[in-house]
Formats: sequence, C-alpha cells, structure tokens
Amino acid sequence: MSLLTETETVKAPELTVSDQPDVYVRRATGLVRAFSWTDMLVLNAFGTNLGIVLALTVLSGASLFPGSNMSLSVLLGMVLCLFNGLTYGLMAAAMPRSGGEFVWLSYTIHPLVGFATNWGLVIVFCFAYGMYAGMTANFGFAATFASLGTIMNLPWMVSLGTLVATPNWVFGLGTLFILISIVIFVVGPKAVRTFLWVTFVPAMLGTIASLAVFLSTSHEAFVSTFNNAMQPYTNSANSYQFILNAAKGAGANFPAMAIMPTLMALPLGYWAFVGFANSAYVGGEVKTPGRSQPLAIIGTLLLSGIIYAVMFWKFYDVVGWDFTNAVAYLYFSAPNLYTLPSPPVLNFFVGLVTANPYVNILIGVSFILWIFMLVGLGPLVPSRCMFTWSFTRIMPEALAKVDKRGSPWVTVIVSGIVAEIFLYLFTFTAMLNLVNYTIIWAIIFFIGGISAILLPYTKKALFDASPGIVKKKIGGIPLLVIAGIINEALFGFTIIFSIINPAFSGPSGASAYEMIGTIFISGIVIYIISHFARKRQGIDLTLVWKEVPPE
Amino acid sequence: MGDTKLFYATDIHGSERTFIKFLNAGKFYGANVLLMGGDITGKMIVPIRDQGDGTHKSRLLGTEYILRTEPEIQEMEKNIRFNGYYPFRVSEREKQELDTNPQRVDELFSKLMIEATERWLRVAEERLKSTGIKCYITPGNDDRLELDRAFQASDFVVNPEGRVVQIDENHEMISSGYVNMTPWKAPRDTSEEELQKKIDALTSEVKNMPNCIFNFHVPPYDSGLDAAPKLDSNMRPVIGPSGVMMASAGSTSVRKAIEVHQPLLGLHGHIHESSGFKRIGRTLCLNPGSEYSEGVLRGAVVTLSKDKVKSYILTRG
Repeated sequence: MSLLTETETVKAPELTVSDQPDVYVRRATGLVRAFSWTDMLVLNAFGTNLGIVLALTVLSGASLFPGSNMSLSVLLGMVLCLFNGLTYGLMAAAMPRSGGEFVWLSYTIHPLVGFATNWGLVIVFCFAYGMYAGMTANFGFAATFASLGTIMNLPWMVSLGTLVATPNWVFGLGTLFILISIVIFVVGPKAVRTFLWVTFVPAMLGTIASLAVFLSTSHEAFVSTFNNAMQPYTNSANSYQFILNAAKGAGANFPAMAIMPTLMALPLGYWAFVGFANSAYVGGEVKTPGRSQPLAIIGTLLLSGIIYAVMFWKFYDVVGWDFTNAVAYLYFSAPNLYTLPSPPVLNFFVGLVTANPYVNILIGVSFILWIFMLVGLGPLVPSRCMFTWSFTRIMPEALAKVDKRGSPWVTVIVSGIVAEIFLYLFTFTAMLNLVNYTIIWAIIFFIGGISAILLPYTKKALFDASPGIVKKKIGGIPLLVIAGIINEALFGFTIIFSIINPAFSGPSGASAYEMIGTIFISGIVIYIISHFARKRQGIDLTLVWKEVPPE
Repeated sequence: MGDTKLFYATDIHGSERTFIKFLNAGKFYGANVLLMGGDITGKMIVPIRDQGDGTHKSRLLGTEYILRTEPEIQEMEKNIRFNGYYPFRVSEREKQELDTNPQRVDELFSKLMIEATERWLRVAEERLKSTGIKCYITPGNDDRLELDRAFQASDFVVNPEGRVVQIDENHEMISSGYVNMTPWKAPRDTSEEELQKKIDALTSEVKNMPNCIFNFHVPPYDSGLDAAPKLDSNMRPVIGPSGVMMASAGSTSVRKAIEVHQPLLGLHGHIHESSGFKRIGRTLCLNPGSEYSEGVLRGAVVTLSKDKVKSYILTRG
C-alpha cells in the first residue's frame, strides 16, 4: 500500500476512473485521495516550531549579531529556504519513499558519503535533544514561573523560577524530561501521537494569545507595566531605564540597525523555517504535475515569514530597540548584572503586559510545551536514522529491535543515553560551546545538495520517471540542478564565510574545527569498520545501492 | 549441496523496468532462486489517442506528448510500460466510449493485464531457462484471479500460490497472495478467518517446518513491516503533528502462524513504505518495500545454508 497523489472519482464499485481524461485508474490497494495544498500547508505548519522561534529569535539575534534586524533577517532567510527547500522538496518528490540525505547520497555517490553525513545529522539531533531537555527547565519553567509569580504576586513562584534555572536542577529536570520522552516512545506510536496532540493544541493556543496581546500593546504601556512589575528586582522606580543604564555600564553599545549584522544573522533567519517543506515527503506512486506541493511549500514560507517579520518588528516597536539590545547583552554577556527574574524571552514580556492570569498561564504553559515538544520528539529522527543504518546492515540487527507495540525501544534508549551525555555537557561544561552548528548544518545541506545536481545525470531513468515539476527545465537545465547549484552556492558561501568571519557562525578556531572534523570522520571510520566486518560475514554493503541493469 | 541464494522482490505493479531488473537480479546478485511476492499488475491505463490527422497524443507523468511516427509511438508505449502503466492505442470514438462505460474499462484492464503477464513470462523463460536459475512468481491481492490462467500457460515460471514447493533439497516454501481485507476490496482480499484457513491448509502439508519459508504477501500484524498511512472515511491520509499518521495493516492470521510454527523465514510485501526486517521468535521476517514507480527494484538477497539463514541484505537495485 502506498499513497497515490491522483485525484480520482469512484464511478463503480470495482473501478476508479481518474478525473484526468487522459488516464484510467482501477480501484487497487493503496489508491487514496490526494492531499490538497491546504492539507499540506497544515502538515508544514506542524513542522515549524512557531512558539520557540517567536520566543527566542529576537533576543538571540541581538546577542549574537548586535545591530541585526531579525524582522528583515527572516525575510532574507526565506530566500535561503526557497532554494534549500526546493532542492530537498524536488528530491523528495523524485524519490518519495526514500527521504533523506542518507539514501540520496548513498544512491547517487557512495554509501560512505551517505552514512558519514547522516551520522553528523544524528549527532546534531541528539545534541539538540539533550539541550532542549535542559532548556525546558532553564528557559521554559524558569521564565514561566518568574512571569506568573510576578504577575500574580507570588514570590515563592518567582523563587522557584530562579531555582529551576540552577545547574543541578537543570540537569535533574532535563534527565526527567529525557526519561519521559523515552517512556512515550517505548509505550508506542499511539502514545507519541497522543503526546503530540496534547502538547500541540495548547501550545498553539498560547502562541495565538501571545500574538494577540503583543499586537495590541503600545511601547508606552509596556514601559509602564515593566517599571511597575520589575521594581523589586531592580530597586528602581524606572526599571526600564535601569536596564539600559546597567547594560551601558557593562560596556554595551546599542548599534543602530545595519545591513551587515542582519546578513550575518541569516542562519537564525533560516532556521526559523526548518520543517516548512515536510509535505515534500508525502509522495505518491502515481505522479502528477500538480501545483499542490509548490503552493504548500511556498505558502508555508510566506505565511510563517510574514508572521515572524510582523511579530519581530512589533517586538522592536513595543520593547524598544535599545532595550532589546540591552537586555540581551546583560543576559548573555554580563549575567551577573542581569537581575530580572526570568530569561528575556518574548513570553516573559508578553506575560508582564497581560493582566489576566488565565491568559498568562496559557502563554506560560504554551512556551514550556513548545520546548518540551522538541524533547518529546527527541528520539524521532535519530531513531529513524539508526533503523536505516541497521536495515542497510551498517549497524547490528539488534539496533532495529521493535517490541510488540511497535516501539523501536533499542534506538530510543540509545538516543536517550546520547542525549543525556549531551545534557550533562550542556549543563556542567563549556565543551559544547565548541560545537559550531551553523557550519555542521551547512556541511550537511551542502553535501546533500550534491545528490540533487547529480541525480538527473547518474540516475537518468529515475529522473525521467519523476513528476513534471522535478523534470521542469529552465534554459535546458533541470530545475532540480539549478536549485541544487544555488543551494551549493549559498551553503558553500555560509561555510567559507563562517571560517573567514567567526562572528558569523559561532565557535571557531582549531578546537571548533577539530570538533566538526571528529563528528564526520568518526562516521567515515565506523562505515569502514562495518564494511570489512560485514565482508567477513559474506555481506557486501555496497550491494544495497547498486542498480541492477534494466535492459 | 551448497548454499541457496534467493532474491526476493515484490509489488512491482506493472513496472516493466523493475521486472526486467528482477530477471537480471539472478546474475547480478549471484542468486539461483528468484521469487516475486505478488502485486505484479499495473493500476493505470494510459491511452495513446489517435488524433485523426496522422498524429497521436498521450500524457505521461504530467507531460503531454504529440507523437508523429510509429517509432515515436512505440517509444512512448515502452516508456508507459516502464513506469508500470498499460499503454493502449485508441481512437477518439473508442476513447469516448471508455469514458462513459466503466465496465468496458474494467474489461480492458483484465485484457491488458493478462497480455502483459503472458509477455513477461515469455521473456522470463527466454532469459532464464538456460541459466539454471529457478523463478517463482506469486500473484498478490491486487492481481485479479483470471491472471492465474497466464501462469498455467507457462512451463518455466512457477506460480507457487496455495501449495508447498521445494525450492532446494532442504527448504520447502508455502505461498499466499491473499491478504486480510483492505479498504479497496482488492481481488484477493479476504477475511482473517478465511486467510487463517488457507494458511492452516498449507502448514499442514509442510514436512520440515523449521526449514520452511512462508511467502505470504501480507506481513504479520504489528511487526513494523506493516505500517501504512492511516486513512479517514474519505480515503484520505490523516495528518498529525509528526506528518502522515501510520497504522498497522498487517494480518493477525499471518502473525499467529509465524508465532506458532516458527518457520525459518517469512517473506512479505504489500506495504510499500514499510521496508525492513523483524524477528518473531526464531523467524526472520523481511519486507523489502517497493519503489516501482521510481523504477527502483527493492529486494532482499538471502543466503540459506542447510538449516539457517546464513546472511541477508535488503537492496535498492
């Protein structure tokens, strides 16, 4: 059984006649109704973590790239996404049941390249899994307790917010959240689905409430509320000015909005959209040139881009440009001078201006859930990748064990253990400060893009059997190749610019590059060891990907 | 006797490209037994319309083609077959008749399926007869019952449906293309009770169960080899926060038979997107999945020694 992206009309019990007058489709297993572009828009919207992006992006931009205008940066990020999303979307449309770089690269280049790239991806995902577990405590709970405690005048709750942000609590709660995510996945797919719905619905409602509150708040109202609410923490009747002065005193200068830092913040602007092309993975066995996919992908991009741009612009307008830079500087660069009871995230500020405690609770819970959702889904991608490694015999068969409920318990536990190690490093050491995610992701996307450029020439039959949109040519060159080349140019530029200008991407220097090298080279070494071990068992790993002659 | 190397593929749904690959797989992987697990017939007819002005028109994969010469038409027919569809030359008048008469289209499907299968069986014999490679092809739930007649006409390719066949001196194989009911009510869909009876009848004839191969089109229920998109009442996949929601669509009868009899190997298909392997007790169950519409031949190369599975690997040839 599989999906069929063909619109059909049932005309007789045993027969299905296509709406398209040029073909006849019989009633057969797996023929299902096509997704509309609005269905796919919803699917893509699920993929983007709206709440976290809205909560963290402006402050992260102000801290990492002073002078950056995140409202503009996300719009530029849409351009990056367009070509990367187009490349991945077209590849997924060409091979709808073989999603992911591992398969594409193994099929078009060599399984060694596919595995090493996928290995890097899993390491990054496991790190994110561990990091989000910690962030649920020190961002999610801390900000929510502080905000609610302040608004509802509950000092014990404010103190609790401060307490849960301390390292031991972050590690303890993070470990608990990782355990919960493991239990959810081990219980089985139904539990995962229930978890997603139970977290997604209130999270989304809280985000909508945040948007509504923020859009109806003026700068003057925010300053007034902030001054009243934060007096106990600043010991100043004008807390707003106190923060500005404290940052200036600590050495911050408040740069005007500028193009260069806005460009440098592009990685943040780009990551805001990750997940927007999920619908491309919902392929079908009978392919039509329908415009649903491009409409859904571009529609999601535009919709989320507009929401982000408006909200970030409104953030600067309500909170104030200088104040945004000041609070980010204090929190990230001079934490000993940061006296506010919560990290300076959007929901904290929204919470302050919300008089209604119920709305405030909803907004707080929403923020916790957005982060916790990422922890709960932590095992998903690493687990799927490890399954593929096992199915292609690179890793032992035991890795793909599934219990009676269909739970991949081995891969889930392995993912959880790796995440726990990363949580420890995140909480108690500075080791993970050496991980340059921008470069690692750029390398993964750059290598992944090579398969798009090669596919039409090395796997011509597969390319010829692809949907019309994949084969579409501009100036005689397949759109897939053009998208791939632009993808390579953008990510090649990102890698080079990151190395030349360390501020662009984060950690740099010998240790940071050794870390990147270790991640990918360890993948290469594992593949080579597996190759020879399997050979001794009479299994040729390269056979998995070799095409049988079709003539 | 040495090891038996078996190549198993399934669910090629009329794709001539993957069928030719299947025939070539014996030599390519060094297999001496080829086994096709069912669902070999296509799902779509692509008319090649005579325009009445010396040209023909057809649409394939979203692109419209105007064909001006006989070689162009033949090339088009080849492309259509390669993608798993049935080409059919038709006049405008015949096309209009087909458009308004579903029964006529249904009959046309049967005719084209049987013709294509007979042609495939002839090609299989031509290519394999002198190689010493055995070839077994089982119909699947999507293959109409009248297709069995095409197999009866072949004295080389064996249809092992509903009986015990000895694939080498150590291993018996029992086969069934019947599956538990699907929402599509395909020709070989049946109730779990009926499927259980068919399986019981087969297992009662097996002499050496620990060495037996269960070639059952439908995978065992809740095995991870049977996760298919969950559908709503309008036959539309259900979307959840993590994408398309999946549900087990395998057979409880097959699962029970494997748990009770513990054969050496279970070979399954039916659920294209659930490729993988699963051990149920001592039984290794495989579903290579299907990517026929991309022209990719998903398969499994399994090496059988006297009383065990010596090695196996899933392929994307």
